[in-house]
Amino acid sequence: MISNRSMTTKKLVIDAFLCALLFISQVSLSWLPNVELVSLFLILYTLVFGRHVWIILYVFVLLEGLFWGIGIWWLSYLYVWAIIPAAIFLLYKKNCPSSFSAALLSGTFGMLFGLFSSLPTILTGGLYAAFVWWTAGIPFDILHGMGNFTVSLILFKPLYQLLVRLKQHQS
Amino acid sequence: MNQFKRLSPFLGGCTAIAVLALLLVIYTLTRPVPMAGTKNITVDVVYEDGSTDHYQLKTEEQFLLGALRTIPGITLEGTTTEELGLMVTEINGRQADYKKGGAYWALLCDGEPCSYGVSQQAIKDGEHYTFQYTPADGKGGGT
Repeated sequence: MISNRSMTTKKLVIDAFLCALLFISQVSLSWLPNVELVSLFLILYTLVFGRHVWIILYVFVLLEGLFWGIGIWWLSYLYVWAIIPAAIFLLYKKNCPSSFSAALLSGTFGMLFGLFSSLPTILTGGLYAAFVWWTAGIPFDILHGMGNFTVSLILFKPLYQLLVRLKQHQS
Repeated sequence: MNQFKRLSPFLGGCTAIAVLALLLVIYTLTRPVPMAGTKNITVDVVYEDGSTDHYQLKTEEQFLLGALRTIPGITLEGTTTEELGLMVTEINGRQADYKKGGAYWALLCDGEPCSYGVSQQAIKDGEHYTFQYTPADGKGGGT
């Protein structure tokens, strides 16, 4: 009876664990400018755990706001990170991408992160302010993209295998 | 579907390269270009109570922070990050720290908000810069 329910205790605990992993990875790497594992984890969570990624993602976003303090940047977190699961659902519905494809997706997302994040600045400072804010950060967006690409290329496969084993253990 | 799977890394690679090229072009066209030679600039600091300190200088420096460092009568304190440079929180002993009091030093170029922070703002001959004490509600010092 319990196993038929959409959210069992076991699933809930695993979601909480995955969310904690996401949050800890972000906080522990925050001292390194534009190097993060969040993009890679979101790709992996979407591929392995499907729709559960939305719960994990929005609890993570809430934790980020509580930990760092809610500001303009936090508004962008409400939609920026969601682009990754949406892209994975759209591009790789049933198939697992190669490490290289995942790295390309993650790298491209990193390069466009500043552009996506600049949208709330339109509300506070206008279109020109948002444009200036974005263009001033382009060198860091490129570094973000390169970091994402490298990290995903190296860690995608081993982490994917680990998470698949976790999922199998769950069911 | 197999064809799509085979094409996907190629298309992904093309997209990534196109995005990178576009970013490089946009950055090259919009980045602050410093001006060589001597420049005459003026700097105002408008405090919370509306009082103002005025500085006029002739400088060879290319960025505003470098020019400000050459003025003996002005002291700037703040936090420095790799991405944004110096984030000014104190000028001449007067604090405007967003984290503490919800106020900040707005940097204006000829009366309009500057495009960059004090470390990255390229200076131009004849330009007038203002550090304006600005509470979180957006109203400047003395208003």
